[in-house]
Amino acid sequence: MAGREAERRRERYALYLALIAPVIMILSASVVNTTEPYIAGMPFMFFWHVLWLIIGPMFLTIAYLIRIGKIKV
Amino acid sequence: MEIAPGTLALGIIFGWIIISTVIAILAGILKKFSLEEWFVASRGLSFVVIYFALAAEIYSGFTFLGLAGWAYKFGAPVLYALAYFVTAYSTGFMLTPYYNRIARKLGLVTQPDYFVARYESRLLGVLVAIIGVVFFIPYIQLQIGATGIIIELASYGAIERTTAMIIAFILVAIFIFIGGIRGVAWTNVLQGILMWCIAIALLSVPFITFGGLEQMFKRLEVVSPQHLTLPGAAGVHGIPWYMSTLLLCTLGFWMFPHLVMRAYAAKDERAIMRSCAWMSWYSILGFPIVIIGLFAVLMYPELVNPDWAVMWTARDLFPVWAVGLVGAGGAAAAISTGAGLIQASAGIIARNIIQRGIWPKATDIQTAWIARFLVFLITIVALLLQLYAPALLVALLLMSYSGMVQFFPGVVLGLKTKWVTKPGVTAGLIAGVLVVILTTFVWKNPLQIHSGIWGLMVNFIVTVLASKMTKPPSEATVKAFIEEVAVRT
Repeated sequence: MAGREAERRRERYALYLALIAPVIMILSASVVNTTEPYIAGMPFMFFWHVLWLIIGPMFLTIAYLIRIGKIKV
Repeated sequence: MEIAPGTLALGIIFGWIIISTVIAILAGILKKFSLEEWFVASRGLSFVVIYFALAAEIYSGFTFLGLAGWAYKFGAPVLYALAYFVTAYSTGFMLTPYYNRIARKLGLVTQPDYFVARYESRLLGVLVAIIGVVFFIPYIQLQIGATGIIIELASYGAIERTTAMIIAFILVAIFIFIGGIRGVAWTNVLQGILMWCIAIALLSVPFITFGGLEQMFKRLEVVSPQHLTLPGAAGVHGIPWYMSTLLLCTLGFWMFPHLVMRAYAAKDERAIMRSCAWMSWYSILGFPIVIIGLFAVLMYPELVNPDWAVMWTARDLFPVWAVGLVGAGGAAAAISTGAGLIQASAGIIARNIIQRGIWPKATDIQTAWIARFLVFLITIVALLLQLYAPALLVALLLMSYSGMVQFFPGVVLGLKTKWVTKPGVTAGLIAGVLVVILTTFVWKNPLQIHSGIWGLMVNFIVTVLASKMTKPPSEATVKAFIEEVAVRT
């Protein structure tokens, strides 16, 4: 019973983490649609997308590790 | 003796294609032929193979040519593609373990099989198969066209586009015929490795030419500032367009039949989940290609076709052998995706339109043989359409993502609710596709919201209302999906 509860909790946390990238990326468009400031040599709009090309996969990798029990929650 | 640049580049490209073909044939020939083997590699693809297989199918001719072409033509709106490379894997991470679990338990081999099993309706399976294949053909055509452009440019005009397309796709048809999905997967492994090398080489271009990214962007800000924010250079891709297109791709991505079949082919849920998590890192690959598109705005403002940006840059700045490798990478990207699409289309027609529609007595092995021969038929049809009716295909291509996303309510509600019914899903699907046609050709993207999202909204409403008024499938089926399969216990 406790094992099943832990499994469900892992699934739930993994789901929340997996949802972060789609929710933020879809909803942030109007806020990030600007060239200033330039960061890492790129206009902000481009930097924002490159940033998510890195942190989006990080969230998903952590979600996977939680899902399989490698990271305890 | 001096070798002409076109001959050397062409030798590298076709050398690569021939090596891929041999590996694909070997991968398939060593396994016993059966329906499950040809369709889903006996559900035995390991993490590494499924990872590269999916990645190579996803990063296609569009990634290589179209992404740079979009950046060149429109500028910042292309960022929706980089964004969905990330968001779509989140959807995959959530959905694909269910796909794999259900397929394993119920013996599903194609995407329409899911609808047949969940809604107890072969007819719905036929409808899903027809919609899927109709929207698939333009994607195959796109890959064929991309291959033609790449080979023509990389060979410095030594080989004509039509000849290049015909030779490349005959080889593809042969290796799918023999290798099935396993052959497709192994050629994709090769392509994946090559694509990474090319992406790194392409990223160096603005640093070498301008001294860095910032210098390039600052110059672009002077020459064409509209390239740097929405609504982009054409002025029509505003915030609502961006948000709705990103949502469309996020939800629609894992509705494509060939990707569903790859999820079925994974050896277990963990392998496919892990692939989604790791594949999202692969998305970084799109960035150098977008940069090349913007670079080309500055360097080649009079480019005849925006899709030439990558190959034109390579020809201008790289040595001939490197142009050959870039061409090989681009051709491999288009070919591997095309191969996956052709294999999935052949499988769907054989399984859901023939075996489960017009010839129910066909055995599994007969169905697998039919699928094999359909590979040639589909390849020829796509080639002929590409040569003689490209306008028709452009129209279908405009709707393909919008069409595929209409499967979403039937898939997700089928996994999570007990009340959704066959008439509900059928009515929703038909209503959704009709709205997509209207909002693509009559009232184009009203309020700048993508036609697929309009279709999806109507589809959901119709599916829910019609389901509430009709009888759900049998208790046993609902139990199999909701309680035993869909909910992990």
